[in-house]
Amino acid sequence: MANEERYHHDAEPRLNPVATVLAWLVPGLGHWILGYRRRAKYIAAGILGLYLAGLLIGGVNIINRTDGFWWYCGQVCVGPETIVINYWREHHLPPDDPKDQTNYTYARPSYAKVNEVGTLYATLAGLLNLIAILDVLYKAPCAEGVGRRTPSRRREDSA
Amino acid sequence: MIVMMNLLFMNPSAHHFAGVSLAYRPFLDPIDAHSWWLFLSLPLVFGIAVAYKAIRLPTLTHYWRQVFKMTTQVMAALILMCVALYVLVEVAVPYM
Repeated sequence: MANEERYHHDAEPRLNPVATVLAWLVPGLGHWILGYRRRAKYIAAGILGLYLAGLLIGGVNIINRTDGFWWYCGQVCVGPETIVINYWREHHLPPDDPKDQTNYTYARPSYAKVNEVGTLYATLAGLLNLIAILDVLYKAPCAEGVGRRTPSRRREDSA
Repeated sequence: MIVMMNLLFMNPSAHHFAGVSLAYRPFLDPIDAHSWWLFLSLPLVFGIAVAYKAIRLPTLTHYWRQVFKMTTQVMAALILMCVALYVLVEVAVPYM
């Protein structure tokens, strides 16, 4: 079967610290570096899709280190963008005077189920990326070779 | 006036109250999904299946089939739990 990216059970697994860090920086990049490129695309699509969907549903207020610390711990597993978003949100709080709010960029708070669902989306994305990070931490490279474009991979990439 | 401004800019539900709809700003404003938030569980489960199956499957031969299978199984389990809890709370408990 062409390019199944079968996990290389026969090869000796090894520690991949660089791939682990890359997997945290960009979801899927750790698998990509190890040669599992098709898996990397699916992982990135799934995790970043959930994360962006969470932000679109609840707004950036779903990332709140102060009021939802344990949710934030899960969300930060998606990558450093969570830290940046939290920093931006904390420095763009709504002004106290409502008259100033019209000329000021700030995130409107989300409430109730919309906030909960958005938070759940982003946190589950983080926990899934944690699984991906742990997966690449101790793993053999792809059986088809790291970074090599085999004929089957070329076919898949062009499809 | 200040109270009205506060309602408009701080409380999303106040927009309906005041008959005013402010433009949605992606990533800054929450969506108005208070009446249909339950349906957001379907894309959530699908996204989880896409990422989880990409990590866990030994081969990607039947990847999409496995993704749809997991999505269906999780959604079916959620619906069954909803029905079971509804029967427990609305039917069984009142007769206890």
